[in-house]
Amino acid sequence: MSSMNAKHPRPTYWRSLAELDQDPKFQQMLATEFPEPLDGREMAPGTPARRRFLQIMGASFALGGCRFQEDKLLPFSRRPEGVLPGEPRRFATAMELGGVATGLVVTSYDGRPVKVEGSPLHPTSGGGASSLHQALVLGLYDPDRSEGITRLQGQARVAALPAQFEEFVAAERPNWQSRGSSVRVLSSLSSSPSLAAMKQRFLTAFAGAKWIDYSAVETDNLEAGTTLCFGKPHQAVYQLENARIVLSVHSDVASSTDPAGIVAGRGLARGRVPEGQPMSRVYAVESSLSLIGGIADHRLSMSAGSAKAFLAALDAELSSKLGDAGKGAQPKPAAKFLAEPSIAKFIAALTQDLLANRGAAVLLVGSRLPPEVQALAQRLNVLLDGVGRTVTYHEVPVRERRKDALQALVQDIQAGRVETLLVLGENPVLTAPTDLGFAAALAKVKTSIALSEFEDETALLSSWHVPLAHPLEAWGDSLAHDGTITLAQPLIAPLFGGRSVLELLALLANDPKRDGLEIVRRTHAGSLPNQKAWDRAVHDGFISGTMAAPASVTVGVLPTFALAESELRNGEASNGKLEIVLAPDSKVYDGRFGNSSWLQELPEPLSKQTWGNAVWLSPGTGKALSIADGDLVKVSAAGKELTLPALHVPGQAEGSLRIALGYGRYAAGHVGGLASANVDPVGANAYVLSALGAPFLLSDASITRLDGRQAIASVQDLHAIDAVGQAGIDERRGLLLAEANLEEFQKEPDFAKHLVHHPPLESMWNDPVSYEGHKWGMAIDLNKCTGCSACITACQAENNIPVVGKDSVLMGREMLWLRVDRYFSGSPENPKLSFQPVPCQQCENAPCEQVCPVGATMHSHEGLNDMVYNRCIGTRYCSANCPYKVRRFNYLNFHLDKVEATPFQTVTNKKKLLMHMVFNPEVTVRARGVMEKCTFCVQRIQNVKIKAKNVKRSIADGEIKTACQQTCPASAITFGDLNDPTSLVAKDHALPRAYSILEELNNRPRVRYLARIRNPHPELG
Amino acid sequence: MATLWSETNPYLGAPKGDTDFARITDNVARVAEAAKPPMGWYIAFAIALTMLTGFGASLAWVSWTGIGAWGNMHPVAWGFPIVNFVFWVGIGHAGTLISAILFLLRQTWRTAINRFAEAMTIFAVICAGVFPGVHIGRPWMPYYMFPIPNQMNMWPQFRSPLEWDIFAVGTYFTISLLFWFMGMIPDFATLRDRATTTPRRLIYGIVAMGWRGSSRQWHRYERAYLLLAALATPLVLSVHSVVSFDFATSQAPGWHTTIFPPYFVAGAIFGGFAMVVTLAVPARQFFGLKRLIEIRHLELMNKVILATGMMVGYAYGMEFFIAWYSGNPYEVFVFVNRAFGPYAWAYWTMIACNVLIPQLHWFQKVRTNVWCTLAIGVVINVGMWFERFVIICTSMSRDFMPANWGYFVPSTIDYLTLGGSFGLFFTLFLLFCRFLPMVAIAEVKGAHRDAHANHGGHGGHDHSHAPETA
Amino acid sequence: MSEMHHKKPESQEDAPLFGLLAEYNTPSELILASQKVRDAGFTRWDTFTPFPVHGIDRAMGIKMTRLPWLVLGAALAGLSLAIWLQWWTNAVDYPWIISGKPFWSLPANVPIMFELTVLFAGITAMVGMLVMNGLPEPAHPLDLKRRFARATDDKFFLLVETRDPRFDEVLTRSLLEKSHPAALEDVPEDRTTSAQIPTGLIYGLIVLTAIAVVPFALFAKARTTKSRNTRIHAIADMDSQPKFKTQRENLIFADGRSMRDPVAGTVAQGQLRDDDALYLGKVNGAWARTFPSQVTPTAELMDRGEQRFGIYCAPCHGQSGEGDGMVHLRASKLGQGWVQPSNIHQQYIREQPVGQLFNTITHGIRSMPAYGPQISAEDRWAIVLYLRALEKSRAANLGELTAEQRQNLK
Repeated sequence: MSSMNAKHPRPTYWRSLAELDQDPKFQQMLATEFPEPLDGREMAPGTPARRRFLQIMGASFALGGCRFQEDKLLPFSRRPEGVLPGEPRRFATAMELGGVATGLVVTSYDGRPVKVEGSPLHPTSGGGASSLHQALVLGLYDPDRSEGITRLQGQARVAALPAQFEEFVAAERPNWQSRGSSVRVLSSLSSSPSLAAMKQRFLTAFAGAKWIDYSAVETDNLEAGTTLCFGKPHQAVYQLENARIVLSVHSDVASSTDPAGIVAGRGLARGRVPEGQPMSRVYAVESSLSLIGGIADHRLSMSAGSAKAFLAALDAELSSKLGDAGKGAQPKPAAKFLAEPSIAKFIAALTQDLLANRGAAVLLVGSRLPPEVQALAQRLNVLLDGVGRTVTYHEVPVRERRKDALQALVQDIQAGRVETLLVLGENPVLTAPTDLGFAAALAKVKTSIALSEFEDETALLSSWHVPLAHPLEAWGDSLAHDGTITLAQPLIAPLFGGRSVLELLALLANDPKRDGLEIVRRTHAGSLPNQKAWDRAVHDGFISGTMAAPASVTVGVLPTFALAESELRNGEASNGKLEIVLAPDSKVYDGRFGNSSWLQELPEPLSKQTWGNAVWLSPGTGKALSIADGDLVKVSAAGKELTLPALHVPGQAEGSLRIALGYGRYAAGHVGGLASANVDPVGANAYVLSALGAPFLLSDASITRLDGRQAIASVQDLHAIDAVGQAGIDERRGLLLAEANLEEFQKEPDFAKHLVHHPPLESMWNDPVSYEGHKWGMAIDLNKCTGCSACITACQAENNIPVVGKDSVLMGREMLWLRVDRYFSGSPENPKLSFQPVPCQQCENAPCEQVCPVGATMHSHEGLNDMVYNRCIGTRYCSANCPYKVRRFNYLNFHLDKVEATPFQTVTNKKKLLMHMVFNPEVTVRARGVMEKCTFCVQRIQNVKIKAKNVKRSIADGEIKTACQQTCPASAITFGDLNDPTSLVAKDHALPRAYSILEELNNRPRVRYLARIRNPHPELG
Repeated sequence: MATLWSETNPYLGAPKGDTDFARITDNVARVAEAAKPPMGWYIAFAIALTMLTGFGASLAWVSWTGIGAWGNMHPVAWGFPIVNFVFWVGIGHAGTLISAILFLLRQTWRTAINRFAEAMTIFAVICAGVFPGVHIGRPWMPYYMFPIPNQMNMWPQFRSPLEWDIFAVGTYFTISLLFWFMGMIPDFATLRDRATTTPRRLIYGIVAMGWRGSSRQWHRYERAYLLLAALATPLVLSVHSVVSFDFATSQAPGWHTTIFPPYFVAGAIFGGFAMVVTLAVPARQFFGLKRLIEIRHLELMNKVILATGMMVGYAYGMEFFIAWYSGNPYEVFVFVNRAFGPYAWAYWTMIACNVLIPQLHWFQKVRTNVWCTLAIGVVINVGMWFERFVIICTSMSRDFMPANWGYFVPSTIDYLTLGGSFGLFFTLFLLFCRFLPMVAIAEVKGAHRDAHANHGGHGGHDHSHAPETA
Repeated sequence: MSEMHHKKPESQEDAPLFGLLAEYNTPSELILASQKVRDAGFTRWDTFTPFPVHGIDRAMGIKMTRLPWLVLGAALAGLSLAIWLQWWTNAVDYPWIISGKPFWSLPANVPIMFELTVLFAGITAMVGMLVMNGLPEPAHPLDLKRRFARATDDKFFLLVETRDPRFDEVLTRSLLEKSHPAALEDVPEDRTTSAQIPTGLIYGLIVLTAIAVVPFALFAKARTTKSRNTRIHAIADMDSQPKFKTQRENLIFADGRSMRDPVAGTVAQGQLRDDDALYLGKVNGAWARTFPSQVTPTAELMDRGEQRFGIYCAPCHGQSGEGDGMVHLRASKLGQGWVQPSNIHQQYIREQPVGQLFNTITHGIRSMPAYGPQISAEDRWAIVLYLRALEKSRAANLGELTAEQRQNLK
């Protein structure tokens, strides 16, 4: 335990104990404790933040006040073994999302976690991590996390001491034991063995109690589908690297919202190497753009409703070809749209490919599609001999369907059969379907205990709120995508004395073991008998050899599926016949990350929207219903309505709307929205549309334009592109982003080098230095990049990149060092999608350097384009002269305004101090008025160089990894020493398809791109 | 002839004096000596002062909150401040050009307006000089740009065109100031000797530095003046060339243009002359200098404006041609985008103001009409400001990579700063009109016919005597 | 100067003659007069005109001034300074790699060369003119003549000074009269204003100088006096950043440390100590009697051990390990219940297995603190190795020596 909690086992986060008694004054103080909003919008010019007055104060007693700040040194009196002050240590841990664990490695600086990365040792994550993982540290140091236990007194929430809560529990426990049937537990869907064990203890302790696995996003269909297909619920594990043909039907695989996204991304990337090995071909059928849709060689926009008919047709086609007709094969559905030439051709080519690649083909189906479709897909996977090659199955325990469980729960509450309700780490008041009326029901329950990180929507209505320990604060375990048991160790003692789910249950069930560590160890006592084995497992972050054994499956005979009228047509752009797809957001997931400013400002990979959600519709549908970009619209389905801005997205299926879930929160915090502090919600809450029967896929919806518009804070095409601009883009896209089809590439492998015709690039000067020693360079493979944007958040976390807030994004002042540019080509109905990550190109003839009047940016002897923050006076000439526009300028005091660091006095506001803790101590925290840009993570380079120098050894290739490279699931980025011909990056630079952007300017960038190669079917071209 | 200087002036009546020289003196000097200036001066000064306050306020706010208070953004890192800077530097050209070049070309008509023009130059350069200082992100450390020895061995980076600017604008300001001041010394002496109150006598006495019009002094004086003129002439041409290097030496499409130096200089003279007429017309009306600043002079300037205006128009066209001829897609796009993109309105304003409207000067009626001259002068100033806006903002808003494209929208502070800089300019200019000799008295006298009286034949030619040393 | 000319001071009556002043109405009359005076060979005389009169130079025989040469010199000076400045700063004193260009490449330096050339030349032209003209000239006898005020308006004057060797009161006067001046007057010496500098001006200057000195005085004081306060630093910029470098203060935590203890039971990457022999000095439960496999006793390891011993052990145990280190000597002088560190040559220590010695170093014993956190396991083994050698150095018996070693001993 950290001394803070050891000395004061109370939420003494910044109040003295005296304040903690229940007097009303203190309650007011609680309400008024929060300082000005932290989300950056107070920094809009013209609205000075409070600290400006502090500054004025400081400035006013000028000579007296503005003195150099004093610094204290506080060393350990007794230093623990293995701890060297200032020497970062790395710990293996894990994060569970949607019941699937991802193995992580977290860097801890002086015992404070500062950076999250994927664990290279871990079988599934293999070093990759998504934006959600990257943003964990920011969540840990979020000043809006609840500081202590609160309980409902009348209408007001009052703080309570842990002791008081424990007394309450002790008093209540007998009732629970006697009337266990009145106890309900709403736990977040988890695969944790310890939780399963704890669940058993709980249910035995309180006989008759009911346990509900809750998830805000769709999880039932897959299991229902496999049950339908194999008789038992199974988990499908795909090996995309073995697939030659991949068909994705509305699947969001490779996205951060997919629990297996990292594995899938890596698998896909492995198949997309055009050199040497045969290259995979990806087909995508989907209602809205997705990352895999971006990779796809062939993409078909098709409304989600018509997926069933599509797969049925495919099934019929394949079954007949494979002579499997009759054995549960579907008849060819009588859907007109299947006869459309484009679709018919698509299916023909697809069937041909699938048949030609039996054993190397795989079908992925989005979890939102109904069980029948899932069943069909798995049936075809088996039929195409995918089992054991491209897909394996393992059994998963049978679970009650979410729908039934929730319905039963609410009915029981209404009938007064429930006296105690535990909500563990979930936020059903926000996320449960509205027609369920959960909020109303919750109020009826006598004792409701909400365990959550924030005092969120659910916690506010519960009679007790207990702070949940952050994933980086608690011991835990859960299963990875392939069933490997993954262990999570804490990086720091709970900052607010939060409890993990296990610890709370242990307390309630009066488990002899109360400490998270002990509980988890007990679970694995069998497999890890002694300390050594345990330590090894903790060190690695997982128990090796626990991967789930593949089950052998037999496909049952499927009934002929009935097709509703709406499922027989392929979308229709007319009100009352629209479909709405509600998808978890790639940034805030189901809303739980709503208060993370990194994620809120992260551009959505496809729409490039920051700070909020919008309803996606195709330009065609927009025209048909006369709805323009940014129009405020009312979306309605089954009598429920939602108002939000509209966004035209190419490749959206006609008549299909997509809305991201997880926005519009009113109790998220000062970033995501906090009614109590008059902070407007970010985006609109799409859960209000979801119904118990059809939670995420609604049909027969309408959309109507309201008067009024709402600016969409997008980082690309912020302003609508006019005809002239569009022409310009079309003209140059091909020059900046080299693309070719496989056979073209094989004919002319170095086509990318001849995109632009230019005279020989000769400088009139000789180089002042010949980069001996190291010569750092980077290569980015556009063929592997899925555009998932994990690299952006990784960069932000590593390099202390400020968040600027929605208003500044709207002014085009975002600070992200690494952009992922997204380009559309082809028809807006069915566009080709291309991504291009753009960091600083570290040009050898850097145009930025010669224009700086003060030499604030210059070249290092290793060829890095260094930025000297202290020397920079902010003429912004370098940015003006940078053809890649990768330089970012601190137009305002983005950082220091938010963390209230004034030059004149030490910060005492503990909330602000907490925010200081997220900064990487090895990177400058830039002040206003200075230019900044990608440094190739120079601090990482230096660390390794120093280590190597100390022991007089040379640096191995791959020893230095930049933050973006490190986190990339597809390992599309390579970095290293170009002087070492054997290094990966040197090899990549030597590839024929390597090229650099705007080569004709002779800036000689150190970043080279590997051209994008598509592998289309000859018939479809 | 005797009536030549007996022009009755709206509020001072006819100039006193029994010789033409005396009347010339009186005609100019009395303006500075008048107990109180005309009402118009007070109104104008009040307005100017208010705008100046706005200037101060906006700059204070900017240096407090950060330049984010302006509209500058990514990719348009240079917005209004640099537009204003280039605009004012441009204005600052006609002055020294008129004085220096016309002096070298022995254009005696310059005497009517050179003092004006020089003053205008000084004040315009002051306005320009403000911006590089305040537009930087950390306005408290512009001294990094000067070669000040320091323990860190940190020096400026002399390859940067901004560094060249520092020296170019600095030199230009210094030389212009010297040129202006030197021209005024004899006139200060005149004011000193006419002064009736002690403070005036003291102040004018100090600035006149004891000038008594000794011929031996006149001799060196004229030499020095000639040298300064000779130095100032190439300087004028260099300054705006250097300013244009800021853009010409960069890589950005629309900036990277070899035609910029001549094009900028022509534009500067164009705008500068426009500003001179804009100022000269009201001044001659208010202060009764109609006989000194004649219609003839205005017409000559209008001809210069017409000529330079067409040079500018040629440059506009040539930019397009070269862009097309280069076949560089980025280059072509930038110019198409200027004319038909989101900023087309700015581009066509510029064309209208700088190329089309000045064509009216083909007609003598227009050329010789004071009010048309004034109106067209103002229009051209607007147009020249837009020229800089088009070059800087439009080019930047859409450069190489479409992912960076944006649309620059100025903030209210931007407008306040722009208006404020005019406040500074006019405040200084009105003070000049009030307290300094608006016309070069000595030079006008020197250009008067009585100055070249028939002195030939009187031993003027005999070299029998060995001259003594000076 | 000019303000004097209407004062009528008493002392002026008997003031000696300074010169003769002739006034003319037109430039041409002046020129004619000047030619006469010139031909008469006068040297100390001058003419005064409201504007440069054309032809007066020749009429007076004024020779071309040397100012242009000065200006040329200055121009060259400016040029060379510009070249030197840019070359020295960017290529020699602090060379930068800028855009892959050579440290010294002329084209980029031309603009500043030009500017400095012009700047120096221009300033010299102005200053040179003033100096050569003897300006500023506060006072002059002519200022006392009221009518002379029109020299800057519309009249033309000629002054011949008495200092001129050829000056003769009568002849000169008649010479001037021949030129039909509009007026001819005596100019007396200026006796009233010669040494008169306004006292206000003097005091003003004194005050200004005093004020100007103040800041420097403050600097001087600041440099020579001590202060508890940190130095004055109006704009902190990035000097104090809102991040926690190692071992800094963080008021969030009760102990005020930004540095946190690792959570109990956690295992950092690469710090899995699951080798008992190496990390605990134990082999299945008992003290290891041999060095762990990872540690091979070599000469290098021995040196390393000696070095570490010198750093960590010798202060107390003494270089030779007899427990007589500096700390001990000092402490026992103070003698506050100080226990002498053990002498490592004692029998029982010599007999201890290496594992036990290792353990003692790791966890400390009696009043000896634990050195585990400070010394890596490998180094601890190195120290153990060196200890053994030290012990051996005292307790070696002849039997362990080779034949010729014994020879050497003799």
